Amino acid sequence: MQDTTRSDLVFVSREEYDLLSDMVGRAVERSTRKASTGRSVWEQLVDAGALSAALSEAEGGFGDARAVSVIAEMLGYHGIVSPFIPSSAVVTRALSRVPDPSGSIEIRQRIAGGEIVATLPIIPHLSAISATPVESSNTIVPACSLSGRAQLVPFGAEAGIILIEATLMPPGQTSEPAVFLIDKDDVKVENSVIGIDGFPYADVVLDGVAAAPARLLCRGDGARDLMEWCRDAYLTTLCADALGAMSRLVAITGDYLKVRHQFGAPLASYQALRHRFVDMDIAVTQTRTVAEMAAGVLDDNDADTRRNAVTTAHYITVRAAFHVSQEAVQLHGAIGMAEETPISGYFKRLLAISLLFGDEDSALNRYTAGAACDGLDAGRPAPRSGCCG
Amino acid sequence: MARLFAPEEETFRREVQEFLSTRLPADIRERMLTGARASREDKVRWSKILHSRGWGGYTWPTEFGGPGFTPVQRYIFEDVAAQAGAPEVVPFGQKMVAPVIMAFGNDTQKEFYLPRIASLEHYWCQGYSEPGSGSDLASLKTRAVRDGDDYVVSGQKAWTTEAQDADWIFCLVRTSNTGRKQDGITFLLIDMRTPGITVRPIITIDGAHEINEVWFEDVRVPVKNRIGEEGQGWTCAKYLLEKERLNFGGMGFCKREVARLKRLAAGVQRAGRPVLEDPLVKARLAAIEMRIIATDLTNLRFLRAAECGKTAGLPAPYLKILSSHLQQDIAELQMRTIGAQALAVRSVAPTNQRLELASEEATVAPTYCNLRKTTIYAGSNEIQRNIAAKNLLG
Repeated sequence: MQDTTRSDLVFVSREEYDLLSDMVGRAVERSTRKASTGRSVWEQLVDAGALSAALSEAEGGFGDARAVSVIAEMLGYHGIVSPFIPSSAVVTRALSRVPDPSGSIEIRQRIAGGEIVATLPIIPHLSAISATPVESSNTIVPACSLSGRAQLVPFGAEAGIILIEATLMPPGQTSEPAVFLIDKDDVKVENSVIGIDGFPYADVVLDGVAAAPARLLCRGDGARDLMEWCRDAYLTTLCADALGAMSRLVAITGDYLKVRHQFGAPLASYQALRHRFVDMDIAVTQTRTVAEMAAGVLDDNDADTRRNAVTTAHYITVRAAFHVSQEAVQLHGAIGMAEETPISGYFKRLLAISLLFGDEDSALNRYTAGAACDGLDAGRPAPRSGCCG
Repeated sequence: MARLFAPEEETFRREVQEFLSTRLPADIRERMLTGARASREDKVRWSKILHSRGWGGYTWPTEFGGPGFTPVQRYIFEDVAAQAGAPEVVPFGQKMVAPVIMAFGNDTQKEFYLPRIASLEHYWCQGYSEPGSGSDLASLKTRAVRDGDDYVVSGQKAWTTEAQDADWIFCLVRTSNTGRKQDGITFLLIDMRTPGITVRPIITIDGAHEINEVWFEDVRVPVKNRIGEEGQGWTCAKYLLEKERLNFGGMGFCKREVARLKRLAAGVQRAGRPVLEDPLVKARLAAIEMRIIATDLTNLRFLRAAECGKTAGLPAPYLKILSSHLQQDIAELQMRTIGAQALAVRSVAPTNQRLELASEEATVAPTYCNLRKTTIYAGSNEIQRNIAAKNLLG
């Protein structure tokens, strides 16, 4: 028996999360027998309650980023293409962070029940949307007209609802960021593509979309904070996804080294390969640490603590993702180049994860730009003196 | 939202910080924070202060006179102490021979040795490696031949850290040449004042005297100084490796050295601006800081798993590999950052003395040289990978 205080500690596992992980794993396995069940993997995840897990405790979920990351890790491990991260890990939880003007409880429940998928443009420099208050509208919470384009929106064509960050430009006032909730029916979708990781992306185009006041979730600092949280939540969950994919690559590669023979002996008998394999596992070990840390502090009230943890997770995970995926191919030899090899999907998913928010250099930039560079006690509020910049 | 440490652990951290800020002698703190190495005298003074607080054997259970810290308390203690500028305690006594005595020694041995280790009345060194036996330690040749109530020990140990400072040495010696080579090894405790022992310095590439050859010529060691049974030495040695590597972190030391790096670099200009404003230097520094965070917390994660009776990964080899590289990389970045100012390390004749007490910059390059040891000692990183690979791949 653990007391509740200790199970609140990062790195102390909670039994219910182990159970959640098992449940998601079983749901995924059931979906591979789709012919017998007739249910897709997404439907299986809905049935297993994986999407509800992202809700607050009051609404029947866990209210904890760690539970969300446990699911993302399992999906990554099984190489599942799903909108779980944008829809459940980010938008569902983001809607719990804003006051409820727009029936967002109902939207959260519809997402959790699998009725609707949500997404958001996640890469700031690929999105340029402006919001102009409609004349004669309430100036405190105006009705707006939104125009612009967001590129490479994950599941942009599949989503029913989109969280949009726009630049609000009230006439005669300084512009400020604002966050809106927009229905799919109001936007155009262009440039639908399948990414190298098999995930769908699309441009979302808004051409004078009318947004009622209730659809303006927040503006100004509130909007900035919410979007920063969204990007950190996306990154944190991607790290868990990458952790799952890397763990799987290590497992597959280890099995392969044991069965593949050359020069009359299994590859696993050669020291050069054994040592490289250990280094892969060390990279995964480090990734697990930072992924769990980031999930543990994602909902911390102190934004510096969160930024510090998430940036570190980003850096360590991307470095590990390149290392582990490249080594998995190399240790397989020529067969590692084949599309049909079980490692190929993981290799490409890790590649996509490493690019979505920028590579580790982006993390270095963010770290050196922020208070984070005095943050040797990640996860603990750090004094802000003596910044290395 | 979750936390890294429980409230009682944060309280403990403050208690340790308070102790360090009031009890660590200022001159020692000053030397440690400016990159000097702790002298024997520094370590003895600090150990006695720790001992007076009941923290002499701070890694020990209460049963043997320690404070019975939890693994996480121990981790916090070492983190705080290193960052505050405390010298590392002599590991050979407290962290290495003591746990073996606790596990395999008899009551007389426990009662005699343990209190003297805790107070640093006995300064210990470790007699494992030999000229012909490094990574392949089990091939060691130093002989111990039974003669009445004594063993007569002959042979040579090598790379023995701080043998010149030590009162005692714990040795792996060969008592049998038959059977498996591991089974012919015995664990002996030897008083360094025993006739027949000669210590010869080995000067390392940093110009310092830290390691030695220790020669044994017909050294008579009482049989009562044997730990465990004859032929049980390898078991003792392995126990030590398994038990003690969990806390290999050393991240407190790394954080201290990163703070020093920033301070040193603040006084250096490059291309007309402070070197710390150079984006390339900033990036290197940020990378190191994030690796420290990841390694530090990996250590904590392993400790949490151990608390719950679980194992997570391969704690000992992984922490050793990660930590050793970080220590080297920090020293390297310190040196690269101050650049040519790191070159001056010695004054000219007549004394040929090292400059390190006069100039902090003069410690930087020698420390870089010295820390090349970290990937070699305590089981080279290649041996660590062998151990890990055996666990992962069979």
